[in-house]
Amino acid sequence: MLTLYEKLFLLPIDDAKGTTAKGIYGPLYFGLPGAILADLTLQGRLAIEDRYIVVANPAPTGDFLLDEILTKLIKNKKPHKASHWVRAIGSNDLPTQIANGLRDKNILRAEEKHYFGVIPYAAYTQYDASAKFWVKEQLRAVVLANRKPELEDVALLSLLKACSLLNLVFTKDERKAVAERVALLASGDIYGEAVADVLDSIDAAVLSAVTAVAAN
Amino acid sequence: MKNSLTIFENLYILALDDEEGKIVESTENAMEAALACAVLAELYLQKRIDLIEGRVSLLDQASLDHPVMDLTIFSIVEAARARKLRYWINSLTYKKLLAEIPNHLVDCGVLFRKKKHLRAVVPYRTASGEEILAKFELKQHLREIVLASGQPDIDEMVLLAVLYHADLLTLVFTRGERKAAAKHIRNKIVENDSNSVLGPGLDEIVVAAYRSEE
Repeated sequence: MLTLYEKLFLLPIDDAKGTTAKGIYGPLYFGLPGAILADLTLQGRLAIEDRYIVVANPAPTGDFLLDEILTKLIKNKKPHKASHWVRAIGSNDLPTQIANGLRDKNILRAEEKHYFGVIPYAAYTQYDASAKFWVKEQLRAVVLANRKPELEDVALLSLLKACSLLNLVFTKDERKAVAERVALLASGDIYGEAVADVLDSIDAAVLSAVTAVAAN
Repeated sequence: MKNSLTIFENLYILALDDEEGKIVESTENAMEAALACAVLAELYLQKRIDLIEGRVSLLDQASLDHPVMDLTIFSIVEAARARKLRYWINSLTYKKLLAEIPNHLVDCGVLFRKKKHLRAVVPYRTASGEEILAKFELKQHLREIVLASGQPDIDEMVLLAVLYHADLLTLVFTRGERKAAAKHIRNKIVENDSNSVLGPGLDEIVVAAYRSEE
């Protein structure tokens, strides 16, 4: 089972080159922290109080990176908004940390600074395809074929939208319809109000950070 | 092919912009020649035409109950002499036969017209009973063939080869996949051990519009 941040990390990797395409580093820099916060929220660890992110449950998740960030949030004395955490968690080392985790799980193989999907992905051995392929196919089926979405699917689609990275999953002719469908999915009651509020604030923080960087 | 449509109909569906209700604007030029190649490839597969020294010859003029293919057969019958592939590709484009493709898709219930816009009929019921868009099913299948080592049939290989030669892989594959997809199609379909797995006739047809004449 992949976390949200692992899925978000896999999607921009070019299948042929094994590197992240140009122009995606910026959105990922803020998108990955957003995905980590969304993961913690979906696992019931974070909540929102008066627009500030608070720890709702300090129990470890069992995921090394999520627990590292959760500890950081627990130790923090002053509560902060999502916009603070998206920037505070972001670092140039974060992608390498995630890649190492995926390599240890046998999802990726690393060749110097290039990453290639391990084929077949152990969870779906019926086809010779990478984990990235299956992540994309799930998102495509949810949006284009009305497959019932999981919470993680909607959270990931919303993050991709906030990062302007829906083009990693959908072709040009699909994107307008996709943007509308993603907005509809995210505005539905799939999460429940409490979780939706946290995720909305995370998405807004990511969008604002990505937009600010793009404008500079 | 997973559905019962022809190669050129599937190509048309792939290029149909869901929102605009017409062919994706950036592909319009490439699509004319690609559709013409696909019509000729379909006739070749249906054993209606053959290629003799680069010229199209008629094998069987029996109707296929399809306006585009039947009109093409009629044109070939009417021609005074056997013509080169390039002639027929230009001719199909010039005669606007390809404009008949969406009309037939409307007649078949795959598309419908709303004012001047073409829309996919939703739901389109697949052979397995699922209710999804014909276009989604097709794209998903082509993506599985290329990105997940699925087994293509000959129609699917022709369609992928046409998309490859016409530089239309953007219709199926997203950013980050296209180079790998092109490499896969080149290695497995177009130039398998220096020979095309399509065979010499089909290979000649799918590249005819893109190869400079000697």
